[in-house]
Amino acid sequence: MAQKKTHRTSSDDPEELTRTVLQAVLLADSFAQKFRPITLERPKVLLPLVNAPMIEYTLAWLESVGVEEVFVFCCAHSLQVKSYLENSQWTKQPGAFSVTTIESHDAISAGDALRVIYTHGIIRGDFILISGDTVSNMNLAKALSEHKDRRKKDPLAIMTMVIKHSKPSALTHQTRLGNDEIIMAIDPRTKELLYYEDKVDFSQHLISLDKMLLADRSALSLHNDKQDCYIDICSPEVLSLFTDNFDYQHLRRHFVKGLLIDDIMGYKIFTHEIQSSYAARVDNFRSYDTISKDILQRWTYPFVPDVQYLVNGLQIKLDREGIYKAPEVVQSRSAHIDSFTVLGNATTVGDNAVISNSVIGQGCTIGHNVTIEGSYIWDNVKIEDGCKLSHALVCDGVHLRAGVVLEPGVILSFKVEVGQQIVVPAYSKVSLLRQPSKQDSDEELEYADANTGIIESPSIATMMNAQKVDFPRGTSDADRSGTSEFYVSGAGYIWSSCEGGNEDEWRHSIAPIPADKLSELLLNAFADVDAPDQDMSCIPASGELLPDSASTVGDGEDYRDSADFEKEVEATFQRALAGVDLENVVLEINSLRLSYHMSHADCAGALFHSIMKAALVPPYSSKNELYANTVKEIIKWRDLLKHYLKTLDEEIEVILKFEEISVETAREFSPLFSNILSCLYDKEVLSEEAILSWAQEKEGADESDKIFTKQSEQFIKNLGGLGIPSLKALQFACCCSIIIRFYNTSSPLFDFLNVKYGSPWTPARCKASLWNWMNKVAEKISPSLQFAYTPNCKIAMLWDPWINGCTFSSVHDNISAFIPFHAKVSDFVVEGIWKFPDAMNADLVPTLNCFPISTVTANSISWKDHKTSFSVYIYEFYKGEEQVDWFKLVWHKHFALKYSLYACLALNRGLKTADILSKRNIMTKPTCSLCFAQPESIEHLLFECDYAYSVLIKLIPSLGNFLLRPRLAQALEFLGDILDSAVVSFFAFCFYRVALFVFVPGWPFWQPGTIPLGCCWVQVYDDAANRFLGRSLGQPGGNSIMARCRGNSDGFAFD
Amino acid sequence: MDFQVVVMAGGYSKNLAPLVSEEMPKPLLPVANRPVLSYVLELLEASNLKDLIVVVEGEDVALRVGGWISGAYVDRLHVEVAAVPEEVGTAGALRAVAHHLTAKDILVVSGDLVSDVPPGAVAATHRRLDAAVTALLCITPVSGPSESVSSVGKDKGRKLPRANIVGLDHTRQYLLHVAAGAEVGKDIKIQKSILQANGQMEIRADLMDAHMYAFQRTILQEVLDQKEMFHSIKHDVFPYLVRTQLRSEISDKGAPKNGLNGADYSLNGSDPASEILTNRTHKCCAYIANKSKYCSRLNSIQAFCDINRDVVGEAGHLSGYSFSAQNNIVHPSAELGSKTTVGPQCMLNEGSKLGDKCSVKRSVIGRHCRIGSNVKIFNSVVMNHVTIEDGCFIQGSVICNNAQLQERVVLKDCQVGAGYVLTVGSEYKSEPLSKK
Repeated sequence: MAQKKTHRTSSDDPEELTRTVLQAVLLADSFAQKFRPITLERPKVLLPLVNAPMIEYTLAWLESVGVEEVFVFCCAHSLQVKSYLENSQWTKQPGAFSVTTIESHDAISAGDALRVIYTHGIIRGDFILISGDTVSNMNLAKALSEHKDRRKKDPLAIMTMVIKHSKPSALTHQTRLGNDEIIMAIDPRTKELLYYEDKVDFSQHLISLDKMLLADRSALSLHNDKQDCYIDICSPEVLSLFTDNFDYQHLRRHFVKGLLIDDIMGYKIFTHEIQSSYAARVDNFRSYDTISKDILQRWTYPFVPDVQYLVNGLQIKLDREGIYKAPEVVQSRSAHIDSFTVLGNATTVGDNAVISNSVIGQGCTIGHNVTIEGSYIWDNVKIEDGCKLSHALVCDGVHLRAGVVLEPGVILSFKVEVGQQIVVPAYSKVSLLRQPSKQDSDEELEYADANTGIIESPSIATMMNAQKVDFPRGTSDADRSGTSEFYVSGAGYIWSSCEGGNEDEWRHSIAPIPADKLSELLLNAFADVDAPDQDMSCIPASGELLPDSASTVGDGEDYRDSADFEKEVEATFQRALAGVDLENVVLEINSLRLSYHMSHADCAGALFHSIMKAALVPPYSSKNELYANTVKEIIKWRDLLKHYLKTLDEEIEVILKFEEISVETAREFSPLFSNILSCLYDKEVLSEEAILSWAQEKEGADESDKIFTKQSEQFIKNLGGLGIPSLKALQFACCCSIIIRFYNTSSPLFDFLNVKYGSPWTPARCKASLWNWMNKVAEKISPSLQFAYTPNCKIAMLWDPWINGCTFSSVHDNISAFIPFHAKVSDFVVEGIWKFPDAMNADLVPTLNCFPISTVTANSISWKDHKTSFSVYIYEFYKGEEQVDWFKLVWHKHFALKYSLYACLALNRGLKTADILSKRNIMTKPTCSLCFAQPESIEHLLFECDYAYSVLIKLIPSLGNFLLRPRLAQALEFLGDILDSAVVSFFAFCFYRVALFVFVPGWPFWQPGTIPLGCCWVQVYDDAANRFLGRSLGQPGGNSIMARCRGNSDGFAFD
Repeated sequence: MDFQVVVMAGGYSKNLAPLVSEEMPKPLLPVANRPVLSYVLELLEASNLKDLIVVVEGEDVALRVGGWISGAYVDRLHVEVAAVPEEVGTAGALRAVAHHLTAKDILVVSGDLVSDVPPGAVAATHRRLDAAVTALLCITPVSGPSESVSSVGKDKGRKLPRANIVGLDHTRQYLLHVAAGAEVGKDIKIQKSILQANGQMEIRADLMDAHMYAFQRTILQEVLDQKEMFHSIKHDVFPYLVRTQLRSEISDKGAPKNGLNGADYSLNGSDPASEILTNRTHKCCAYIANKSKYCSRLNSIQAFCDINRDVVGEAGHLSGYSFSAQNNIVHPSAELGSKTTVGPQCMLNEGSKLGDKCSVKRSVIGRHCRIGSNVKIFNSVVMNHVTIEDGCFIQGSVICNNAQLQERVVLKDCQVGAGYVLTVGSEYKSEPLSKK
């Protein structure tokens, strides 16, 4: 039974894994024009490659690697593709392999295609992205499992690219497939792709890699000997990324590079290198040639003509020397078929014909004495006697009359006819369709309607003249002198090469690179090798290369730009006032930002300026009205402004701008500066950090510049920390409140307290902790209090400090003998006149006269200079404290509150470790509960314990390099030295640097007698801030919670 | 072996003030009580490289170093001591001794190298690959010995130089790119032509240039003659050679220029250009030392402390002393008071006396030192004839010859120059202390 059960679970798991059907997206459109003019009439994926349409190779491979669902995306000639697939075995055959077509006509790039596929919502898991012209026989299982494993560990690894070794020629800088060389940087350990450059700029002699690539790895390998196979294993995120970034068009140029540059999202691309298997994409005529030869030489096995993998259905026989023959080939005895040649079904070869390294399609007729070398002849081609073809591509239905010579690199599209004895010049492309007159730069479609204009191409006409070709008795009715239609008794137009002229034709042609071209390149190469000498010799001798001279933009121009920019932003803002939608305003400002090359900070500044101007528009008569207006405007436009206040810099920019406005343009604001600033803070436009760093920045400035900092000083000081008072402060404030109420209100509770304890200043005669606190608080706040006589006031005659902050007994010695213990001031006043026992009257008068006896005052006790409010109590609590700044390292607002609390507790020795508990007579196990070896203390838990130390090493690996376990002091020193490394996280640093510094008595410079503790803290904090934040926060940052806690730890229990 | 060795021993290095003094130039600074130069000399001797030129800065240094060498190595090595003016740089020093150089290959070694990587291996690699220059590279840990582990780091400024950025070919034998970490700006710039010639380049950031180079003499001399501005071997000559490896203008060893008429080559045959381009005009090679080898340069005070500690500690085999059971070295003539402990990885030399209740940990104490009672010495180096009175506390510091510490001096991360006297009860932190 048990066995059965285990069996079931084990069989379940693989099922779970395989349940996700492996999907593939096949792009049946290359979104390029490399195969024009052929692709005007037939989509590229249906062009025959060794007598089988290219898409067959791709589909057959996909099936062989276990793909179950293929989505064929067709765009150009989609009907042809669809009807082909419908008639093919792929859609007919039953089984797990299904082919679905997706059609879209407005896609102009791979990016568009993937966006269309995303909207269909059919991709459910990892999928293979491949284009329909790929030939491969690689085994995908390993790459797939690698991809999946990586995904499990790191969900950001969204793509695996297949690459293959292929060293480009040093002369032409292209691979044998005719692709440009690619420079990739790959992490040798993880195989992560770090850099990808496929359009290598030949004029640059240097490759620039970001130094940061080496920041967290010790090595990377740079390759230019890898070829991109264009087989990608993608995660579904790829599709959504394309949708998010609507400007991604090209898979490599935009998508891959975009991901590599973007360090915000952190998506990663990995590579999988195949060693022995084959993968290549027919990208141009050169690769068409190369891949055809590879197929004939059986590199792509099992996808070769004589294996029944592909459609043909016909039994092709492989003879010696790589000659493939279909049945029903009629071949003259004298014909000579050379190695690596395919003869298609029902093809006739005449006498003395010589065919070598060529592919001949079905139903072709080849006359006598024809020489065919390295050419690709598709179906139903008629070649009459005596033709010479060398390295040409001849499409279906072409008719070559006797004696035609095709020079290397000629492309004859469908049904072209060439008249007798004509020599077609090298690299010409001939089609029945005319060349579109103008290349629309946007249009990268394979298809185009044939009705576009005829190219006016005198150069070709003259070329034809030079070759003494008679002008056509042609089939075309076009203007003869201007067209390139040609051929005696022939039909077709010569296409001029689309881009770059004939110069680069050789690069991507079917024909091999001619020898003279090679030698020319060789000379260039030598010149190149020598040439850099000049620019290399001017580099500094120290070996590194100077960057290019920085672009020199005049300052004046800069200023003009920013002024213009400000005006434009203001105009936009005015439109917003007029009621334009907020989103549109944001859009408009963004576009302005881009066109003026401004930063977000500039936008924020300009926008703020506009808002402040708007606030000045309504009439106002007083400062307060202006303030109210401003606040109104700020509230109104807060959301808009916040669009541009993403970082600290921008917020600081706004403050600086505000300052500038207040000084220069709108002086009305200057008296209101701090009020408005605090309003901006309250409305969450500005953060406290921004304000503090603004103050910081201003610290070193001239006195005149400091006006506003001074004005705002009080405000700045109150910022900081979490913004909530500590428990002790709350206790304190509560006591204050009770004291004030004790005197000023009458309620049964206070009457009871009055009777029981007298006043808060009365010496305690009980153990009630509440009243003990009250005593302490009262003692502390007495200098801030002001007493006034009111009828029936409860001021205690002897104890309360009602005479200018002094008690009656301190003013007069031995007076307590005359006055009862609980006597109230009111006991001695009769009808507004002091009345004392006679014995002491004379002495008292001068003192008591300064204590006015009024009958109107409502409150017998009040705060000096302030209304009594809770915040005043809190402020009072912190009044005497040292201003310690590093508390922010503990109570930083980016930290989780939990950690801050722990840090704070640790600093206060409030963590309930065994040693602390034992001091409170709570006996627990004294050893550390993590290592069971040493006594548990805070230092131990956070540093000395092996466990803690291993965590620390995880955080800061270089700490592990110590030979011995470092002492705390050493570790701290060390941390100070390696701060450049990004590995040291902010938390680790702050915590260890501050916390450990403070509570380790072994720290050699922490000697309570010699150096004031506070100085020590400030020094540490400053040090930390300097190193970490790159700026000093030495400006008093307000009341330190830490200091508050410590300073009062004597009086109150923390909990 | 047809190798001549030039040892760049230096003079009064500014980096090492106040450790160096008139009597104690940099080559003679003690590492575990032996002059640092002796480590290089014995390393060379072990590889049977006995024909040496020791280049020092200044005549008086030459006298001192020469005197010491002739005494210590009289019949073991054939050493010439050459004096060059100060501030000529390493390249200038080589120019000055050029007329002495006759061998086929020259090994240039920095005199402050403390290592157990056999120079013979570097030389052999150089010969085997027929290289123009071969450099010794050591794998550094993330923050290696060249970076500070503790103490004086702060004084040297925040940004410590990183290890070099080195480009290697896939066999890790050829050097394709080299740049000192400190010189690299935001981007690492790599010559495209060199990448194209090799197809692949591994860029490493964890290798340290140990300043041991083997040069072909003819190439070296040509560079020195042609480029008069070159000042330093590491910063000028060596990067220059690496940079120009594809198109040397220095030694025309008959690059196969016959490839120019490319028509000779069959169309589908070998690519003539790639042959030419990969056929470097001179080869720059690297010998990468095994990770387990010790390699460090005494070029800063920090390094001085580290090396002293390592040599009596983890790299103890370099010191040539035998360790006691407590993993330390105490000379039999040293006297220890009662309750005095000498921890592991310590060294106590002849004639030194320690009072009662002292504690010495991971420190080196030189000859004939007088140390009072209740003295704590941690992670420090105390040179010869130093007097330390009762109750001193010394951590992470270096105390030079004849210095005197009176009672209850507290030092942390300080350097005390020769003959300096510290008064009773003074305390210092991270300061160089010396006679003005």
